[in-house]
This record gives sequence, structure tokens and C-alpha cells, in this order.
Amino acid sequence: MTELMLTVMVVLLLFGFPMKMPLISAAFIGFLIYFPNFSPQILVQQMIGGVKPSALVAVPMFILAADIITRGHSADRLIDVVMRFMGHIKGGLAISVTSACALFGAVCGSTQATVVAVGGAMRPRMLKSGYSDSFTIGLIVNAADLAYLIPPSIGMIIYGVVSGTSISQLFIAGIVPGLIIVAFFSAYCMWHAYRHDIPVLERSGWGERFDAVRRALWPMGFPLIIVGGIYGGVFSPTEAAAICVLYAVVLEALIFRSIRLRDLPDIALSTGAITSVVFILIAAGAAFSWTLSFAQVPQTIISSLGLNEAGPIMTLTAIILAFFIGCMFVDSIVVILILVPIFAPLIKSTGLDPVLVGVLITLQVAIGAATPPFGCNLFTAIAVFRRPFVDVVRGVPPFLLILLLTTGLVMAFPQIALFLPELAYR
Amino acid sequence: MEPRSVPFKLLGKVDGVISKIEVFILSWGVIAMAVNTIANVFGRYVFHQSIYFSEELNEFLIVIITFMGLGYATRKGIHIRMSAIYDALPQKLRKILMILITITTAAMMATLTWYAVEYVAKVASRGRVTPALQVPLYLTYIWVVIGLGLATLQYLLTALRNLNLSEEEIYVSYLEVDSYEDPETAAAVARFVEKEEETAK
Amino acid sequence: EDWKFAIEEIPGSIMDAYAQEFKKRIETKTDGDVTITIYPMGTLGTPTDTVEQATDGLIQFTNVSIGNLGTIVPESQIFLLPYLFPSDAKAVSNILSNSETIYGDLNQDFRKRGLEVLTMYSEGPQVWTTNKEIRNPDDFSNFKMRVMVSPILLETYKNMGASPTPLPFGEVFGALQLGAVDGQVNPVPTIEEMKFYEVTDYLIWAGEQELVTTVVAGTDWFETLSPDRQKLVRETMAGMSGFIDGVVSDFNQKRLDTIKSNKPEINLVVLSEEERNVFRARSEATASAYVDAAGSRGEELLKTLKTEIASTHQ
Ligand code: NA
Ligand code: NA
Repeated sequence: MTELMLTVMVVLLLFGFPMKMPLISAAFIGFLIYFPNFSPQILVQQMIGGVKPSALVAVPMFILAADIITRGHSADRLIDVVMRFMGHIKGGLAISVTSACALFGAVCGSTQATVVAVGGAMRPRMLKSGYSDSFTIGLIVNAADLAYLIPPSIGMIIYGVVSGTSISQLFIAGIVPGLIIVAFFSAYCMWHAYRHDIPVLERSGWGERFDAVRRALWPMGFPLIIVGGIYGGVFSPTEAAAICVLYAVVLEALIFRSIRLRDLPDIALSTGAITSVVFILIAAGAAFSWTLSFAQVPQTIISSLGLNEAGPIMTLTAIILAFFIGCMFVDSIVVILILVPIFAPLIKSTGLDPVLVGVLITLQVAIGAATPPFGCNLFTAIAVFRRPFVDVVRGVPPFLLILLLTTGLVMAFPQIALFLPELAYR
Repeated sequence: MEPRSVPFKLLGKVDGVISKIEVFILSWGVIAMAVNTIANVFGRYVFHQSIYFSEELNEFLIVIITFMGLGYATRKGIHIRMSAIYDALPQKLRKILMILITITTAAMMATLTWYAVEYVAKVASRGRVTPALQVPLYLTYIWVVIGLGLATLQYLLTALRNLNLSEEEIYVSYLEVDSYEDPETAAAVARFVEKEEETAK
Repeated sequence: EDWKFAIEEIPGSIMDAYAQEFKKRIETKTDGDVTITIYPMGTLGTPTDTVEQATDGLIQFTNVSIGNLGTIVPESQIFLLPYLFPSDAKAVSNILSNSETIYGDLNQDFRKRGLEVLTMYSEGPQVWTTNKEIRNPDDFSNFKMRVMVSPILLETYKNMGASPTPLPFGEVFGALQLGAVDGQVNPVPTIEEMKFYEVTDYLIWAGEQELVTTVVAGTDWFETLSPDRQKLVRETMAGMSGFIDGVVSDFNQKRLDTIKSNKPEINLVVLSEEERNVFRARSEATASAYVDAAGSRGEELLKTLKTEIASTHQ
């Protein structure tokens, strides 16, 4: 049964069927083989149940907030502030891209939006300063991953809901690994700038800096709401997301006046459409994983891979490898929906910390957004920068290596991810 | 891109009305979700009174957005899909593959619709109610049936539109010629283009 | 033949102990003719999902807490009513495993929804964790008590003098920490697992409610069983009440010890019968919320069950 389910999935995936098809078809086939005498209406029950968890409300809310601010001025103001502080050091412009991605990532949970908001504004400036296009695009598509690691993160919300892990803890656990990536990327940018002798920008005066900080103060309220609100126990992640929407509306419509209130239904429509497309996958994924659990497939797969006796390190390595490879070829959300239920019993039995696993999985998912052949950041870059696929991919390898190094570090020293949540919750 | 001529004009009109309903549900559903969640926070902190049905309302909104958005997304051709092989095929084969994809997907959606009808009918006959508002549960589930049904219709229409192999365009929905795109990517790109145009003005 | 048994708790929990013991006994008694597969929390969906699956015969048994049955069998919410049971654990166990009202009358209401009540047991008393000492209804004034979303529970705490505040389970810890709510109610094992005691000062036993759980099977499936098999299932479960009571009291005691050793300064308050009587008197009115949900049938059931409890335990 497992073989047939898998074959159908792979064939449908390869031939470009909408992603809900492989999931739901596999669930149906599994069901019909396993329960020839029952009505598959239970799959409908599971599909509805899959999207019911109220924690999922955070996804459309964060998308809506990000939609509102990418139309407005927040991103530009955040970019400006980092440039004022970083521009004059070697590789300063590239470092600014990294930092701006981190800052913007603290406002927004989508890597694609980050590519557009930061990359769109920064690429022309980097090219003008003498950075090669392959380095520039490589940096942008990879630094945008930070949007997934630094809260809020759509990937973490979905992992949290599917695996039953605290989204608040996941959010906080992603911060330090994200900052480590910022540090590594910045060091690499600096080295790159020395090697290619890229000129530095003029140092900004403290007056200009102060002014930039003042202008960026409003957008800096988002991380305060998200991290402060959740950390301090004021809000659930879902509520923090909704308050972000309110804040974004106040900011962009009332203070910056970059959008009009009557644009809101239109922005909400686009959010609704994205939500539906993502959530139908979660629904299909729930039906799929119900069939798997019922037939005890995870147990079978795990024992056939000999993972039953594997220690936590082996298990973690296997999980990371599976996610890394999966995310190379398939959309990250689909990978989470397929692989998390398969590994869930193993994670429980080896006693691995689900928060640690979640951070590492999120990291792989983020990396996957910029690894060929299937990567949402790559597609966004192709569309926005109007460059062919090969050009967009050319600059990726060094950044990919850094991200894999970070993965290794977090595996070797789990405290990198875990000390903040432990400080906060245990 | 506007198609040159639309066969079966009436279908196009029906489609237009359905589209308006879907647009309404999606946009106001998301706004309602935000308002509901924000109101609950304010209720808790400002008025020391949570909205007892807040979570239940969000559950309902999420279900209706997910399933009613299905038809809309199909109509707009936004789906997460892997198109590497598809894109590499010659035009004609691509069109045939598109017909195959839409027909198979329509068949799957129709099957789901059927079982959704069965399931929702059963929920209705068992008289289940929602925990907070105590309204009949099937009233919140009926949208699943409608959404899946509309998606079936959309895929069928798309298949129909593509059947004319002599025409070069490949339709991703009854009215739209486009390439399938990841929705978040599409939205992000749309924002970018919008902004560029604004700066150009 | 493989029987599938879904529980709403994780491996290592009380329900898991119950399912494992049931599996062991059935597999031994049938010499392995029947095997049992246990599906822990979440693997087959929510508790209401697994109840539906049992009704449809996809799975054979499911053990769920009564709070999760309210939307399916409204009459079952009788066990959410405050001060329904006497204060003594033995008596509670005796009622839950032998009551004619439960296995006769109430089972009829389950059957109407395609379910068969096989057994009921308590996972222990519901305990309040609060930031102030509560000994009488006046202490409850301006007190935000977190409760599950249920009209009966809202009414319960309103009548006892508190301001009931429904909140999703995952948000309770944060809300207690921040003072968005002043207290919550759950059995000791949950209080320990979720660390609610870390953000509150008092553990209060008011004896108003027990966490009642039930094992149900789908009627359609159960009736396909031979009379021998039906008897086997019923007798095995009936024979397990002593076993599960031991597990429950051990489990509650161990978790309470953990709480005490992690937070020695926590105040443990057990209300006296006199103090309970004050709350008990104010709780009479709550019955109307149950009757709203379960109609005249509910009224009838409540009367029968109360009479039965009064006649056997006073
Ligand atoms: Na983020
Ligand atoms: Na990839």
C-alpha cells in the first residue's frame, strides 16, 4: 500500500498537478485499499479538522499584515536605518541587505515578500556599488530565509499545528539561530567586499542616523508586538498576528498614508486566496496523515529504515536530511505536511525536543526556498529581477554552505536554539 | 490577459456571479477574522470579558475561506505546483497534459464533493451542534460542499476551454490564460510591479 | 481480528494505562484471536473525530473525556454539573462503574447517536489553581476563572460568584502569568504537565467536579459481535475499575508530589464540607443550563441520577 501511495504521489507531483492532488489521491488510494468496505467520507472529516485548529488563524493574519506593509513604507524605512549604520564599513551594503532581511523578517513571515521588499530596493544599489549580480541575487534569496527563522514564521506555525508543538516556543527558539546566520552572512559579505575591493559608502552623521532611527521607530513596533507580546504572555501567537494587522493598518493607512482604508478588502482578498491555497494543502495533508497513521505506515517506514534503534543524533540527522532533500524538489509546506507525521512517533520515542526539531526543520525549509530546482525565493527572484533561472541560482552555493554550517552548529549545540525558550518557559 | 472570444457566453456570466460571491467571502472573511481576534483581545484587556464564541467564529471563518477560496484560486490559476517537466514540454503536449490535469483534478474534486455531501448529511442527521454558540454544526460545514462543488466546476470549465487543440493558448481557468504560479510568489511579484508603477508615475 | 482503540491522551497517560491493560487482558483471554492497536492523542484526529470514527465502525473503541462529548451526546453533559457527586472517591467510582442510570437510561441516549457506553471512570477531581485563596463565593468576586467553552461551565462559575472566561487551552499559562485570568480549573496531572502551578499560588480542592471519561464503541459494530464477545468486552471493562482507580490515585499523587517538590511554597487548600455546602447551595441553579442543552430528557435524567446517588450513598 505504501509503495502505491508513494508512486501515485511522485507521478502526480512530477507532472505538475496542483499539490493538493498528490496528497488527496494518496489518501484515497490508501483508504480504499485499507478499508474497501467503508465510505471515504472520513477523509472529509479529517480535511475539515485539518484546518480547524484556531492557531492556524495566525497564518492569514501575518500574511495580511505583511501584505499591508509591503505596499507601504515600512520596508524602505527599515532598510534606510541599517544603511545609515552599516553603509560605511567594508561590504556595508551587502551587510545591510542581511540586516534588513532580518529586520524585515521580524515584521513578516514570508520569505517571498522579503525577497521583493528588501531585494527590490537593494539590488540596484548593490549593482551600482560594484557587486556582481550573481553575488547580489544569491545574497538576497538566501538572506530572505531569515524571514522564516525570525518570528513570525508561517513555516513554524504550520509545523507547530501539525506536530502539536508550542508555536510561541518555536518562535522564540528561531531568534538566535537567525542572528547567527546574520553574523555568518555579514562576515562572508565583508570578506567578499575585501576580495573584490568594493568601495564603501560615505559614513552617515549621527544626525542622519538619529533621523533614520526615528523614521523607522514605527515599523520597529512589529517585533515588539510579536516577541514582546508573546514572550510576555500578553497574546497568543494568533492574537499577536491580528494585533499586527491592526498596527499595520494604523501605520500605513493613518500615519504613513501609503494605503487607503478602502484598499483593505482588496488586500484581504489576496490574503484570502493565498490562505485558501495553503490551507487546502493542510486539509489534504490531514487526510493523508490520517490514512498513514491508521495503517501504521510511519512505524513501518521507520523500522524498515532501521531507525528504531537509532540514537537521537542519528534520528535528527535522518530527519534533517529528509527535509533538506524534500525541500529541494517540493514546496516546503507540502514537505512539512508529509514528513512530520511520518517522523512524529520517532521524535517522541527518541525523546528529541520537538522545539529543537522544529527549528532545524524550519531552517531546512527556509534553505529549501533557495535551493534549485524548486524554490519559491528563486521563482520570486526570477520574476522580480527578470533574470533567467541559471543566473539566479549561480550565486547560491556559498550561502547554502553557510546555512548548512549553521544547521550543523545547532545540531551540535542545541542550546543555541533552546536557551531562549528555556529561559522563558521552563 | 483578456481572451479573444469566450465560447458559451452564459457560462461566462454565471461564472462572473459566482466569482463575485467568492471574492466577497474571501476578502470579508479575512477582515472578519482580524476584527474578531482583535475584538477578543480588547475584550479581555479593556472590558475584562472575552468573547466566548471568538474561537468558534474563527474556526468557521477558516473553514469557509479554505473551501470557498478553492474555486477562486482555481479560477485565478493560483496553485502550488511543480511545473519543471510541464514547462519543458512542447506547447501541444503541454496543452494535452493540462487537459489531463484539469480533468483528473475535476474528477477528484467531484469525488470529494460527493463524500462531503454524505459526511455533512450525516453530521446534520446526528444533530451535532457547535460548543459555544450551539448552532447546528452542518451549517458551518455546508460551505465545504459548496466550495468543493465550485472547484469541480472550475476544473471542468478549464478542461472544456482547453479542448480546442487548434487554439494556441493554454487556459489555467475558464477565462484566464496564464501560467500556474505559487500564490505567495505571485502576490509578492504583484506588489513589486504595483510599486514600480507607482514610482514611475 | 484487530480492534482499534483511540485515546485522547499521550502515551504514558492514565488513558494509555487503561488501553494497555485492556489490550493485555483481551489478548490473553482470546489467546491472541483478537489483537488491539492503540492510537494515542492526535493520531486519528480530535476526540470528537475519534468518536465519529467509532460510530462509523472505522475504529472499535475510543476513550474520551466527557467534556468532548457534549456536542455529540448533549445529555452526557450531566457530568459537567457541579456537586453532582459525593466528595468521596470510592463512592464516585462506584457510581461511575455501576449506576443503572448511566448504563441503562443514559446509554439509550448514546445509542440514539450510534454509540455504546462501555465504561466510565474518573481521572480525579478537578482542582482550582488560583492567585488568591478561595473559600467562599465572596472570594470569587471580580475573579476571572478560565473555563473550557461550554455553556454549563460558564453558568457553573457564574453561579459560584466568579467571572468565567473561556480561553483556548494553549493560552492558559500565559494568561495566568500575566494576570489576564486569575485562576483555572483542571485535574492535578494537567496542572503539573502544563506548569500552571508555577504561575499561581493556590491549589484548591473544592470537590465541585470530577474529570469523568468514558469508553465508547459504535453500536453498529458492537451488535455484530457474538454475545460471548460482547460479554467479554463488558466484563473485562467492568473488572478493570479497581485497576484504573489505583492508576488514577497513584498518578494524581505522584504529580502532586512533583508540584510540591518543584514549588514547596505552593498553598494546598482542601475546602471543608461546610465550605463546600455554600458553593453546593449556589450551584443548584446551574441545572437549568444543562436542561437548556439536553431538554426535558435531560431534566428527567438528572432527577433519576440524583435520586440514585442519594439512595446509594447517604
Ligand atoms: Na519572520
Ligand atoms: Na528547493
